[in-house]
Amino acid sequence: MNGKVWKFGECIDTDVIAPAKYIRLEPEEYSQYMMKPLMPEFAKKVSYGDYIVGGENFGMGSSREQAVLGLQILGIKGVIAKSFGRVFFRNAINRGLPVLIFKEKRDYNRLVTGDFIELDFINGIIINKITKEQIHTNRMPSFLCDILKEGGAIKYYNKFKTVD
Amino acid sequence: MPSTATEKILARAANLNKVRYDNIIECKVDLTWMTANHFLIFKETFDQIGSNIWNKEKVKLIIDHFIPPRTEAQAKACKAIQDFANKQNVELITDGIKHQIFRERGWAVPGIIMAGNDSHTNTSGAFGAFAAALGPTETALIFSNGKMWFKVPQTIQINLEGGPLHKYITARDLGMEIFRRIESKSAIYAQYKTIEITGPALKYLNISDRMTLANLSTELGAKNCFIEPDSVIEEHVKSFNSTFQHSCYFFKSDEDAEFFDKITINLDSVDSPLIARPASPTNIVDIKKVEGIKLDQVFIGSCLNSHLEDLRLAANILQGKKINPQTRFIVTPSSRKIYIDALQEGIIKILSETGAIISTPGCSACVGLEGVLSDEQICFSTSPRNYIGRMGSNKAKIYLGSPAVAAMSALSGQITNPQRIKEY
Repeated sequence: MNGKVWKFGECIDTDVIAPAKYIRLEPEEYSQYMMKPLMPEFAKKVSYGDYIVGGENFGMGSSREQAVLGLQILGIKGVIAKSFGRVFFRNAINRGLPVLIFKEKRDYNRLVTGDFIELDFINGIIINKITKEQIHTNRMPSFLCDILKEGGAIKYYNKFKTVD
Repeated sequence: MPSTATEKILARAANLNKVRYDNIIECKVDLTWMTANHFLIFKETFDQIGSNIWNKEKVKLIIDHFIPPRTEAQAKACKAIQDFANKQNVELITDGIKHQIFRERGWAVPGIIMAGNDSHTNTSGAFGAFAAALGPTETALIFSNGKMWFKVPQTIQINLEGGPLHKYITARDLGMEIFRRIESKSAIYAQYKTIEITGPALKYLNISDRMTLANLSTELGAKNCFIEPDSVIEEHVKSFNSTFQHSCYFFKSDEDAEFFDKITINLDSVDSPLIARPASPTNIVDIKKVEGIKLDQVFIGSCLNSHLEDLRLAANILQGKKINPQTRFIVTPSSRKIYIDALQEGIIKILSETGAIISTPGCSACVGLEGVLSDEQICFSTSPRNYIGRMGSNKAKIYLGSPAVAAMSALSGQITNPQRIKEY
């Protein structure tokens, strides 16, 4: 899928991604405040199919799943970062939002806000649709890829549920 | 083959002879929980998998953030979890912050897998458990099938020597010294890793101190903290009698296990209180750099530093004195038990007489549920986080540090080193 890049800096925490004071609102409402402390206009400007690019430790901080759900409501189809906060990473996989880690951290510098990219999360390849440049991310472990392919852990476990 | 303690715990839970870092494994979970604050997301998933609870002894329902609810939205979440608890016939716990409850009820024990919704789950590593945070969706999956996937982490072993800690230097300062040492290597040095704490100086750290260190490991991005369980933990575990005590395992890392790094810290070397400046909990400086900053609010509370010992320390510093009238001082014991113990010891009376607001046991001002800050206001807090907007306005500032610094700072109305107590 093709979409625009929204680029953020280092260590973007969940209090920025989904500020605590709004997450008790209904999803359609709180999603309007995503990224508000850093970029108040983000929710209005983002389009369906867009991607987020982050630095180190994107999604660090609290375990609130609204940080993932709100981005999905706004239409974000993937996050590519140098590294992720681990609960954000887990929430994203379990909710079916691809989260990819740059193979080379310096490739973070090759993407800017407004770039138009295609993301192949299974093979870990980002293609810049204008320059045709390719950027590689780490290949996702196959178990996590399977969860993403099903659209998240709920669908995955409903399909492959084992009880003992 | 030699293994780290965390590898041993995970191998047992995955029913494997040996696991190695980066393996993705599926483990049986020994204890999970859900709280009101993310309950609605959890419930949606739980209903979608249309299931029953896998083991009612091993799942816990807790209200700790919204106790009591202060908005209609919070009340809605509390009612939903109450209804769910009634329907499932599971106790709903409202006696304090979950990590403290796990200690008080004897559920946090060595060698078990504790995984549930709350980023400060690492706290129970103080007891030698593998305790890692999850989101609400995957917590719902554990409620239904008792299992979850984990990536096996590498371990950074921290060896504590020397000690005991100097007067007015607390485990919080030691934890921030660990931040300083680890972050001098890189900001993400401990990300996804196990922080293991061991060494001869552990004997100077009581259970509350250990919970403080384990809790802080969250802010380093660590997956879990493992504090090697010793006789202190053994005695604690023995004082309870439940399922959890009968299924605990005192694992230790093998000396020749493969560690990501080993760091030695001497307790004697921490000779001045440390402070986290805005807006990151690991933005550590010596207190000298921030002394004198005027404060609108001081908060002693949260899952990190509101143990009975913390309140006692604050009361010792403040006994018979009055806090600065320009500073709002909120004290929130982290559990009902601590509240009652502090009442019986006279601590609550001392703190209240100094001018403190004593608040309901729970998460309180840490996450802006009360004691909210306005534009340009500055708070000193013993809680774990100082991100932008955490306590209200995006233009407010939060400094973090020990309960000793908090008490002294409430007294003077500005960030003050408790080692200078004689001047006050």
